[in-house]
Amino acid sequence: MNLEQLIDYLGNDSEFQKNLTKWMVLDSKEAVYADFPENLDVRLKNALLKKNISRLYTHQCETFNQVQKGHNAVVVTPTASGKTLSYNLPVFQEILNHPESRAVYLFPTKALSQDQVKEAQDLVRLLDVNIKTHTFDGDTPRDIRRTIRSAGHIVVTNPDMLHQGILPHHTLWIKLFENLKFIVIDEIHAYRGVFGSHLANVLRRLKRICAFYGSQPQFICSSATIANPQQLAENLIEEKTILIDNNGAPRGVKHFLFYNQPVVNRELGLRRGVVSEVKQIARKIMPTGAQMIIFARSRLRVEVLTTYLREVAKQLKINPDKVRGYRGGYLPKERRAVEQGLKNGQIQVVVSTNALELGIDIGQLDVAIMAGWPGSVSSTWQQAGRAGRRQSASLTILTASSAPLDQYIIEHPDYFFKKNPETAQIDRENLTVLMSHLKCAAFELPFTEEERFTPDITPQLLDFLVEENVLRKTDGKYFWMREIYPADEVSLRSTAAENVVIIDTGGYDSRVIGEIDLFAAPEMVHKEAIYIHSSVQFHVDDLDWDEKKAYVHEVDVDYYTDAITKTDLKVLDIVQESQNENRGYQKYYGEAAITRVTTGYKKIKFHTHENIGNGRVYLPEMEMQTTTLWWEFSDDLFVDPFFKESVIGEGLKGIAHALKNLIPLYIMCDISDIAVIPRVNDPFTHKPTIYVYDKFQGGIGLSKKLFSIDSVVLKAVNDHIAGCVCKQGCPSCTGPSLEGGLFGKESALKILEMLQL
Amino acid sequence: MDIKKKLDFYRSSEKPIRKTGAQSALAALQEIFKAELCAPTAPYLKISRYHSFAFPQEAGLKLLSKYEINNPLPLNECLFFDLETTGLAGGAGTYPFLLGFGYFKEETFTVEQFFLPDYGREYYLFRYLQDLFSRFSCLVSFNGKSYDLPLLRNRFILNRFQMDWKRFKHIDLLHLSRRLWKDSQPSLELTAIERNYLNRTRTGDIPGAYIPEAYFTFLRSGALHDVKKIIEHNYLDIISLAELIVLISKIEANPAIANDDTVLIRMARLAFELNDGEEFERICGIFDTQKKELPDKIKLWKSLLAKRAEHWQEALVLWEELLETKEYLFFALEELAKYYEHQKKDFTIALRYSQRAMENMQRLFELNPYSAPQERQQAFQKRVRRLMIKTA
Repeated sequence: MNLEQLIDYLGNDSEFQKNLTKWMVLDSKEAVYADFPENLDVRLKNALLKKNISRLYTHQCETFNQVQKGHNAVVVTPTASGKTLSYNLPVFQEILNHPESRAVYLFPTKALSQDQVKEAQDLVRLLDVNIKTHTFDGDTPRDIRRTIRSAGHIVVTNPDMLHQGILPHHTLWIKLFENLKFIVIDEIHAYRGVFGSHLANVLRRLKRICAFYGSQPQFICSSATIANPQQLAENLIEEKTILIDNNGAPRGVKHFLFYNQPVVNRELGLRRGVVSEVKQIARKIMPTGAQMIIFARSRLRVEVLTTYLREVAKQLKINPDKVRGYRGGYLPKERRAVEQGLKNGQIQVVVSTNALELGIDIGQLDVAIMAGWPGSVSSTWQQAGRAGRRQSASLTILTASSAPLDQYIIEHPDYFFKKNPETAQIDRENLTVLMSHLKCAAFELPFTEEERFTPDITPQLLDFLVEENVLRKTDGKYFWMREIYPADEVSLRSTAAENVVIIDTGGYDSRVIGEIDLFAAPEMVHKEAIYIHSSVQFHVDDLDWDEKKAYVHEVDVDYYTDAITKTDLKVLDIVQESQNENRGYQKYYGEAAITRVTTGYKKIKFHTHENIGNGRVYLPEMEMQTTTLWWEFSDDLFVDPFFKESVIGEGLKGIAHALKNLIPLYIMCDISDIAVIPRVNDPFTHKPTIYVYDKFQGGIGLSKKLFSIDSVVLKAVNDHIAGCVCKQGCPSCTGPSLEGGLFGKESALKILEMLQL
Repeated sequence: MDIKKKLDFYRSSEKPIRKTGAQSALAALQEIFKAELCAPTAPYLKISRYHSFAFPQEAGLKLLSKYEINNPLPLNECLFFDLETTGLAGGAGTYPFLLGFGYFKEETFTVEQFFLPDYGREYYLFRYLQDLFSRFSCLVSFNGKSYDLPLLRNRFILNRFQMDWKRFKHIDLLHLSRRLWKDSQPSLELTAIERNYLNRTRTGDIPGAYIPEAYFTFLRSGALHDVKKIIEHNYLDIISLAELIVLISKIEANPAIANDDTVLIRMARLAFELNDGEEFERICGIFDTQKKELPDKIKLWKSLLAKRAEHWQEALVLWEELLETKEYLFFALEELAKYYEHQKKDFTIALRYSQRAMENMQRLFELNPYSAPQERQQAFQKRVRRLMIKTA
């Protein structure tokens, strides 16, 4: 049975059909071509002809023309639509005509940059000219670095390397900075939240240095489909940018299925687990030989699913090595091997986190399955985009967990197909981020009094740094006055710079099998945890917190561990509050200190998910300062004797549960980017209170955005809980009734109805 | 116009009042070192000192520089330099605030030091330095290749001066010292070399790690104490550079004066690596004149040089001698086996040497399984197998 036959078969399978809430067929699309631009260099024309390209897609042609006119451009295209050529053409045209010209290509990850170099080098070979394209990253050997600095036409790198390795040493790169004509930023949708806020500031530094050497580069960006690609590009580069979204690439028929797990217990609102359901679906598809990617939301789920599907493969007499996992924390070499295996067909099934959502070249696959809602409309389209060859049909299946948001989406498929993808937010002015880069910038070149790094407040910030003895002001200029190298202290990916390395001591020699960021470490690799890596279970023997090392050895047990954490929140400052007194609640926006500590863990049995034991963990608290929004509920709401303290607690907990899950629908963020804490008697407000905070040092504007649209979100929470079919609360609304108590749903609804929303 | 703006206007028309603390500190430094205050709009200090020094006209460094300095170097072509900076990390934000230079002229060694009492005082100094550099063809430093010179280049670029660095040869005395004394002493810091080979000890020297903070303290408070020490420290560094290059060139001319066999061995190794038979023989000659037997290591290199030159008789004698050593036994057996197999085509003798090697290895293995050289063992196994076939 091939894929087309399978699609037919599924269409007639009534058991399967019963669980579908939508079967959407997206028609195939013919390619839209444009002739080669007239002024396209004849050498480029010939090289393209050699590649059997005799016309361009419309978006490639327009990008070329707009860039030729001197505009910055952002190209929006789905995966595999020839976007690389969109930016390679104008860049190569420039270098062919002015061999001293230079370009920088920025990719969000190292893996992506290596792919792109290959593609550019291909074009160079066809052109038969001496255009040097090099990756410059942490892996670049020392002796080659010098050549790249002086002679590389196109330097392919990532923001981290630009930030730590290139900008602080700009004097070594004179040739590049004096002649820099283009900066290509690929996959800009990856630069949202913290990473994007950092990048925007790195680009400020880059432009400052270009100005010093007298160059003024043009920007060419590419983005997947999000609601605001142009706005995001302009936010990142702080210049006017032309939007190009007339994608001309063809597409095969795409079947998009919405699949809801059958309910197993209506009383509790329990549905069959996503993991086991996805396993059953994959089992149907695997014998067709179709190449398949399965997206799971957590690293843990990736490992569990990979383990299950390897078992399935064995039962189906398929080599289990054709099933592989892929996620952050694997070493680069392992990941390259999986990418390669997918491209050449040696791997049939890959289970991945959203790490493979980005444009890493793994070729096009036949089937994409999402084990749970990926968190945003644009992510969903991107993951779906992994399936879909140019000519043949492809299949995408979205499955829903019991989580409220999943249920909301799966039961309202039209909401998804009609809704615009979310907007990507960045906050260039996040004080932590801004200050880090202001320091780096001062290290790179002294500031003058007139210079503006950020609008309005640059002089105040610089003067502050003078007071802190970080800078010295003399004769109207600000100079760096520290021994340290400031870029080393700033990581662009998170607000914590440190990592915990995971060391396997079980083998002949100890070896590093992965790493994990400092904030996640207490939950993932606390002592006695089962850490799963490449489907292999490891028992954590010790977590050496001072040395930032976790020592593990391989085991084979039938359970995994789930950490128990405790969070404490202390309000530091109120920045904004709502004026309206008589709506039953007050809302505030401000700053808070959060401490999180892992206190213990549960052992959960595979398959049955029973809790089979507990343990305690003693680890230091992780501290974070961030922005938060909170609602303080008036005591007058709770005069009804129904509201015993425990009942209020259940109600708040229920509201919090639904809130946490619905917020990502309204502001583009991951469910794990925010946290919601309900408190019956809050020590700060002395009233029943719900807090929502950004889980990032300094905040990234999420709770601030929520502050402005909070009543819309609360209304949606009310509607969602009221509309849920369960009786006393379920995972899809106020949380499972066993956990939430008996009155969670009723209490939550009563509270929400009393609010003047 | 509101009063605030008026006041600002009033203030800007007043003459700027410089902080007297830093100014008086600068005056004090000028007094102490009899320095010259240069560029009054962006003042810095120039401290000149003259050191009488009987120096040779030329320094021969061919071997120790690995042929980088092929011909004897006229010492008056050399500009010695050393920087004191605000950090060890390097990069565009590291500021050299004390720049020391030295050069030979007639009978004296002149040291010129430039102290920058604040940031932003570089422009006129670098204009001067451009002229200074133009008078020389060779730079001499200690660890300057990876540290001082890149920083100096940064500052030229940041002040928008162009300099043709390719014009200069650059001798990094750290590299030369390593070739002579690596492992002969625990540290190859300049002060340690001074103590051990230049017979000079410093008293009250400021450790390098304190230097950045000492400068920051000066900037903030005008405190002079440590700055004086830094200037002295830098002065001694420059003097040591000059003495060191003279000493090293003397050792190159006559390695016997080093009075250290390990120095001879290292120089022999260098000559061997450069495939320089003449230099190699010169060093072997020193052992002969001292009536000492050649160290085994040198015998090994010598045998390889002889092999390369196809002086088989000489090589054979050396290999026979090396058979008596513990360290190079397997090497000698392997070379002998190769010689008889490939040159003499006498497979029986070749097999005998190979088997002797295998037996010895077996014995070693029985004594200590970890001590047997695995790769070599496999090579011998292959050789034995091959020779068995050839002799059969």
